[in-house]
Amino acid sequence: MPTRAKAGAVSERQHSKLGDAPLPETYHLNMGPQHPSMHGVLRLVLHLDGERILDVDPVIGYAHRAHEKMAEHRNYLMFLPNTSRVDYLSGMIYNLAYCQAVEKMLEIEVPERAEYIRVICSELNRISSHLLWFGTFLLDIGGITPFLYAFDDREQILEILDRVTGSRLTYCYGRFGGLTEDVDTTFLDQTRAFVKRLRERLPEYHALVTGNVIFRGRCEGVGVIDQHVALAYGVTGPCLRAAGIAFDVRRAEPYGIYDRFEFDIPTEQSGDALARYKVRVAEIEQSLRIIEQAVAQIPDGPIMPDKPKKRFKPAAGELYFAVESARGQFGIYIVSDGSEIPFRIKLRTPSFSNLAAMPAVLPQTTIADTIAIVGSIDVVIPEIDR
Amino acid sequence: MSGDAKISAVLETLLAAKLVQQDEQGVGYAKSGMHHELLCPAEAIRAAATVYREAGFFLEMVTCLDLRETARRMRLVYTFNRLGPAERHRLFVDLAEVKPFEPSPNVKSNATPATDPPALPQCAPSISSVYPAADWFEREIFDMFGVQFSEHPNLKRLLLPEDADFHALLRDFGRVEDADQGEGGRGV
Amino acid sequence: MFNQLFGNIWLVTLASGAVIMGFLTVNALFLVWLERKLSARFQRRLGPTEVGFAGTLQTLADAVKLLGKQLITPRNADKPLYHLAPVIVFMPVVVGVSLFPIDRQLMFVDLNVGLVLVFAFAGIGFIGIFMAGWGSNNKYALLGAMRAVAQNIAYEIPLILSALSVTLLARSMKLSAIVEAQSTLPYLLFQPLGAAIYLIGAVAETNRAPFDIPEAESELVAGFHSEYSGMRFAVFFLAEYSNMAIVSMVATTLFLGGYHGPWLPGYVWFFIKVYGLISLMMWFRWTFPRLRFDQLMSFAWTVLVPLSLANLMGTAVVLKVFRR
Repeated sequence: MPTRAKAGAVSERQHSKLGDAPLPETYHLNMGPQHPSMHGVLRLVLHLDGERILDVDPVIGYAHRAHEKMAEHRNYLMFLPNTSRVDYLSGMIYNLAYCQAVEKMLEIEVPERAEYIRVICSELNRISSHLLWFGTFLLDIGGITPFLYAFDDREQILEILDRVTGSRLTYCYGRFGGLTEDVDTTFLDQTRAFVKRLRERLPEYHALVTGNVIFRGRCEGVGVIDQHVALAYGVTGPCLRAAGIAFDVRRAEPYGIYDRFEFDIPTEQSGDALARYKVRVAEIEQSLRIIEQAVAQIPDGPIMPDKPKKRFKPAAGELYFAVESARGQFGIYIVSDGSEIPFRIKLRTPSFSNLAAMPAVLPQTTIADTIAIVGSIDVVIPEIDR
Repeated sequence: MSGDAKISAVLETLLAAKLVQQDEQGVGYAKSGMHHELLCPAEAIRAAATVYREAGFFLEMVTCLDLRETARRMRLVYTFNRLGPAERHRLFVDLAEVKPFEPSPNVKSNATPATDPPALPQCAPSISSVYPAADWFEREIFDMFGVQFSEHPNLKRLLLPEDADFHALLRDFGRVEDADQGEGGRGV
Repeated sequence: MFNQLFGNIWLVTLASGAVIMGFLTVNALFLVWLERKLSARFQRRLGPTEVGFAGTLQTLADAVKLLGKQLITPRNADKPLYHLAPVIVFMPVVVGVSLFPIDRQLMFVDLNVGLVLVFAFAGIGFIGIFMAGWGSNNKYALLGAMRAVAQNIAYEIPLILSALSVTLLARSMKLSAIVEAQSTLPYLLFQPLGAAIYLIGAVAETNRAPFDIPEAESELVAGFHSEYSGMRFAVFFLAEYSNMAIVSMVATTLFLGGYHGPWLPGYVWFFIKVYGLISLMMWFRWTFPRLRFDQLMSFAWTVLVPLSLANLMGTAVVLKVFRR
């Protein structure tokens, strides 16, 4: 069995030698951009000795849509629909994060009810992202049935959110100051029913997957991102928490009304694919807890300020605003020159940094491990490429 | 907060070594999301990054601002943060402009350009040996703005096509819409 | 006239071949439908419902679609190997099926080395797989082919060793004699370990999940048959499902008493057992994730081979001591 990449690989990390002539026994394999397990259009140029990986060069940019450039030629409101397209799996979180960032620049007060709805929708979105990850990760390592189970549950979330927002994936639900639509009691009932349903289903997931010998064999000790690597590459989100660092933006830098809810930050110590799996499944439970509290506490009232602003013209200055997306810390860096059009919007996306750590993790593993590792860090390519 | 003491220790180290200075334009955390807003000369950035690395900070983001139109310079923005209660440090590094600004008919310009370009370094040292995370960030900046980083091990384009002859996030590049319609813009 | 016709060995061979080909085609059509229906039930879906009663004609429609597809040959392929590979993969299966006693009086050929021949022909199929992988001139296909050969060598040993324990019990390699020896009790009761090893080895031999490593979709796109389209691809598909039938027939013959069973006619029992085993293999596929290649190999060499050797030695010793 090949030896695994160990800690300290970072400092000795060798950069791509793909320009050099390959050794006689080794060859290059172009994995992607069209490949069943590259989750969109990631391309890994693997330098292989048999099935053993000597070096890896991730090639990105195939889904680059120039979101940051577009922001420089639109006013603040017109950029709003772009945000959920950056990461289509946590579109709600991105959309609301941008709203919150602009609200902070313009000093707009958000009504209580809108804040609660934002939390409920964000957490539903997080669960749906984790469920999709659960399904596709299992698909990557060859288990087909769990995918259908997860999608069944995810469909419930999509329908709940579809009813209030009008879209299933790329939500544009937030507005500067609140939300487009209020929710009704049916939404709250559906959400309560969903929390109950998923609580009953999670033990089934564990029975089908978590205890499976083959699954554990594929995940245990595979793709270890330890604290050293995580710090060096700026890895955040479940990948970081799987390495034993309880860093969650919702706690470290509470935004919205996250400081009002009780929830734990699940962590694991081993930093391998199994730890990342466990952390995400535990996070689903914590999100359910948050939703439960928010649904119980939600007050009546308006969802937009009494006198919404018509023109959004922040003073010259800069702002960095971070939220916890399903994949890690999502940061928005806005630079305003005092006009209605942003001078620059930089999107700090979590998968960008998480994927950048791959050259430190993949060498000395096998092709099958590559698939499991890339699957376990949960990359969304459009979010990396922006 | 227990972190405060340690923060000031990092900041003191940096200030004592004259690696950074406080940014007088800075407006504080409540308005900007940055706990400490600092200016850093280009040649000191690697030493400053090493101080942050040793203090357990992670590199949150590196990006670039194209200020050629108003201030005739490129500005790199580094943010470092702690993996705990947030303590965000932002460092500005000013560089010489990559090429003179050319106003285009599609880009509204209401700024009065500064006349004499300040004497600034052409490129910044890469901090990817300190923070491997910077590797991709610096490649993206090179890709989008054309800013060079010295001693970067693998400075090639990251997001745009390898054979592109433009740097898309420069302010005088044009608009994405024009690239779509083949008018004015120089998109692919 | 009738006797004359059946006396002619060539005509009989031709007729048997036609019958077997017909059986294999219908078998594959049925198994694809069965797999779709079973997988759908495991995943809380309905599966095909539109074409024919309960979707039974869906696979036929798919076969027609595959017939209409363009046959693409990669420009740099090794053409003779590339074109011959599907044939080499499929032909041994036809021979294999002819060797099994389906009922007391119903078998095509009854050879006294039947068991050896079954395994010999099963081995030829892998040459075809390697030809496909090599001839395609595609790295994914080659990786798949390399995996297939390594896996085949590793799993054929425990497979044959567990079958050998049965021949010790039956004192014959003639398949009909092995079945006859189980007229009272099936060998499953005497050889539980051998049967378990055989089942694991059989799943690996047919490249089915969790051992579908040569064609691991999420890793190697489609493995050795990545570059095959249309009917050429369909032939690989046909061979895969026919191979499932063959390994299940071997298991039925060796461990489950073949056509023996109460009340129902022999051939009904035979097919009930065969398709029961196939359903079990499908159940595996839709439940388990895939093993990693090195885990698969170390499982074969460090667990299955020693276990099957021990099983064979144990069987021999027990027989020597207790049998007159």
